Amino acid sequence: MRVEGLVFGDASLVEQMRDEKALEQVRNVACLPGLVGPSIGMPDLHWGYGFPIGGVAAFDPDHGVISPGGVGYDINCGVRLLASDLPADAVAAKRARLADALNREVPSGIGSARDDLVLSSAELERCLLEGAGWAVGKGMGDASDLEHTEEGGVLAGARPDLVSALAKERGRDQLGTLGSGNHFLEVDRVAEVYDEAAAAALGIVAGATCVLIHCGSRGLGHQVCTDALPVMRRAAVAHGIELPDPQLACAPFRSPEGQHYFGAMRAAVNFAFANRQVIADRVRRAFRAVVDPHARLRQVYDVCHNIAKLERHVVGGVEREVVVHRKGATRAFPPGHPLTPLAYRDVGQPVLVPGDMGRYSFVLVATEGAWRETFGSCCHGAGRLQSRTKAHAAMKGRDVARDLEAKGVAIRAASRRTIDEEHPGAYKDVADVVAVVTGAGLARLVARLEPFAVVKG
Amino acid sequence: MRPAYRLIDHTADLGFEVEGADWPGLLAAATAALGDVILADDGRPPDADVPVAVSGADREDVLVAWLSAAAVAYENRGLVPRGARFDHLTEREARGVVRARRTDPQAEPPDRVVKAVTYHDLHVRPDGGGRPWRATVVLDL
Repeated sequence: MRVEGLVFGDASLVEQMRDEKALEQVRNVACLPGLVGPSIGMPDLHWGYGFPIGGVAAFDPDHGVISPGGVGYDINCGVRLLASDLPADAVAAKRARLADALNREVPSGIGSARDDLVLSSAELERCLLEGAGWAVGKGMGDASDLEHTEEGGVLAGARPDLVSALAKERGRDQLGTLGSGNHFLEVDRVAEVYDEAAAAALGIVAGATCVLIHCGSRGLGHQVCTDALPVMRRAAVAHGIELPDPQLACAPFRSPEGQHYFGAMRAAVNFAFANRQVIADRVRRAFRAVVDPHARLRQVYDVCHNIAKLERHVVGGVEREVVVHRKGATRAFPPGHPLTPLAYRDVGQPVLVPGDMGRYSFVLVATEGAWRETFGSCCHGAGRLQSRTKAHAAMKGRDVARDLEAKGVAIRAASRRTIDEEHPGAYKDVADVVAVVTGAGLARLVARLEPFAVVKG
Repeated sequence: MRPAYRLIDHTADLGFEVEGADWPGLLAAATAALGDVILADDGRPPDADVPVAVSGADREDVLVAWLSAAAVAYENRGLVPRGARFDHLTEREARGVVRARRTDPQAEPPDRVVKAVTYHDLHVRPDGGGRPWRATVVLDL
């Protein structure tokens, strides 16, 4: 190990991390060259490919590396939160129709595509360059959405010319789609507000309706990662980098291979920002059609949790540029940070932490602790407790959708198997994860959201 | 004939260990195993060919690239891989077709959605001495 590992958790969470070898992966990351701080694990840490999910690592841009495995396949997978003043009880009364409308408006499942938004090559190039702004320029949202998105919804320096033809082909008709797996749309009730001042700044009202959107860059991002891995494997050999795991394939950040991936990855990041922007537009449509023709859903924030970025951080008392990898970890910039939206400058950047579809999710705000200890990063979710196979088997003979409906949650999904695999018990209790980050001073609680309509990918 | 493989379950995702008599046999069996993971083989014969040409630095590269192409064929066109036929296969290059079964994923949803084929813990082992070739493949679901 070149640096130490720093893992946040309680005794139970750390035991689970140990069982599934996620701690070994923290150690493996600590062996990579050019790290400028510890290999960090968030309390939702779990086994990933190469890098653990819930991992954070920062590298010196001149002597360190960039790794597709440190970003993940679903580049810029992230979460967007929309808030309204609509009373949740009134909206929940229409939950079945709303879930149907959301399911129609936002295609989900394997290879989900939409025939009303197939991009020409020129439009796709613009989308990859402009990110969420591309969709806003087409009337799908407004400037306020962009102000309340990490990086304004676009990473500069994207290189669509470095995105393969296959990746573009996979993404061409997937904008505005959820995809599959753990991606979701969720309509929530603000069940509890813990911090009135922060909630007021974020526009979150107790008893009102919110929407969480969780998805990423779809097939385009997956293909960018798939294309990069063999190149990075060769680069690692050529640059004499020993890899404890081939999925940690990486290249020096300044190398041609490193810059090639960085340019293509940023294009995929922008595609994901645009994807969530289009989805938000379709969600608003569904609300206007089913709930209220004048329904207004304001964007609270949109934050990535699979990304590598050049950011300025204080290391050893000196501010410097580093390449921060966050894989299953959310950016968490503190009050006063210039990249925190103006409206949130006094309270800190929102940190969105989804749970499972039967219990709750949390809204937090970042604190100085995250800035000092984790390169401005926090947890991103609950983490799985059961494998998909075990979750499916455990639900044999059960009707998860009916059970949830009995609890007041309407659910729609591409397949019944998806619902089984995503049943609430398949996930850890996200409250345990959140208790660790708040206890460690990385973030503080603002509100708890409870779902009443869910569309699963 | 069903491929010889063993599923490796994991909290986050899924993998399989597969074997074949030789390198072509291994790659063909891995292709069929991938298809079986996506949608269990019901015995219906393949009815479509997906041309694939891939290359890489070693067999691991070729295996990942070949299986990735097969997974994309399902994502884009609902073609479930059931086997492979090679026109040219070396340790660094593969050209041929993925033998596939046409499906409509809306009418016949997959058992599992494979988003990517990873290098994680990837091993292609030409054991030699008459023993079968083996590979361990972890899938991103």
